[in-house]
Amino acid sequence: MRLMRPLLAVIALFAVWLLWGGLYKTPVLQLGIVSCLLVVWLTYRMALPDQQEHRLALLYRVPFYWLWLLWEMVVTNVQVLRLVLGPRSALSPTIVEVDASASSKFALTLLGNSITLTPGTLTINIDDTRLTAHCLTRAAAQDLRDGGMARRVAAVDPD
Amino acid sequence: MLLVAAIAILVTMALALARALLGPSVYDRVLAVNMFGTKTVLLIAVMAFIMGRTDFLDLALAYALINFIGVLAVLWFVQESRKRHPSVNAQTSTESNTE
Amino acid sequence: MNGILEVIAGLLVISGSLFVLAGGIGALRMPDFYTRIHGASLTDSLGPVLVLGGLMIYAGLSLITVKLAAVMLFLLVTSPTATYALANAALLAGLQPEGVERMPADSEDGA
Repeated sequence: MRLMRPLLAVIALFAVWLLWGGLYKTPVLQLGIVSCLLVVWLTYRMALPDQQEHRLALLYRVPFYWLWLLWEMVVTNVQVLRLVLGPRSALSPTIVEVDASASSKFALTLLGNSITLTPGTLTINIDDTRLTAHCLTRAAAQDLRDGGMARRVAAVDPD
Repeated sequence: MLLVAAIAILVTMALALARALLGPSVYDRVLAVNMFGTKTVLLIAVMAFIMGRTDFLDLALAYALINFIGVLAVLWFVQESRKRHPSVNAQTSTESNTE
Repeated sequence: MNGILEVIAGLLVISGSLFVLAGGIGALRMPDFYTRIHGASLTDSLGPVLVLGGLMIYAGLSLITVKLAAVMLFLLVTSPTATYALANAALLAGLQPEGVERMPADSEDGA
């Protein structure tokens, strides 16, 4: 059973190799298998991956979250575009702390990356209990603090 | 239309280079270099379509990987060298700041 | 039909490159390091999505589209990670943001 995950990784990598290469001759395929094995061996030598159980539920919830995030990105991009081209006096940089004590590592990563990905808010520090973000305006900081995004992330990964 | 986009991306790369030259801190420069790198990926993708050589997309993907690892490596290097030579780096990395 | 798709794709690519250009201007003219990151992150979020999305429409359904999607996914996962590493390194090195107002988590209406 312990070999299950590395084996799956090799198969996934080889599928990508086949997709990318487009050259299906025996020596090339052999080289592909060897390099996939090498990559997985090197990864395991570097660090054992997180032994969390697979949660397939995430696979179908995450795309919906991405769609919402895409819309959020459109809104905040237009806001920041106006701030960037407008006068400096419109800026009101704020540092806000968000409570994140209830989140799993995955949820924390997703939240931190989503905050950075929407312009106008930027994650600058994460520890186990709270997440610190730098915001371009007070309004953005207030939105972040109201926790709409944190609730969406919590819905994706309820643990 | 693609040509206009390519020119806009090139201008952005020039702006990023200007920020890299102006500094003032090391982190501003790393930020500019990171931006330059991601814009290179976009430029390669657009150029692939302008020139009709879509195999260039593999290069874009490889460049994205290298850029990410490169930025992390430079950050690690800055951090380590600050630990080893605190006095030297206090001048070069955070001129406008306390410490 | 083909002409319309091509026009839509072109518009997407152009608007994406406008966001990229605005981000470049932002990175140059914002007052301090942390606000400059916001300018730069403008070039890392909607810009690539629109540019690569437009190119995907140009390419139609093929392996090229898959590759473009891979580039986009990769950029969207790595660029916030790199930005966070950068901002956190600057913070730990003692670079203070200028003129900020602080909103701690545990004040009056905090959780």
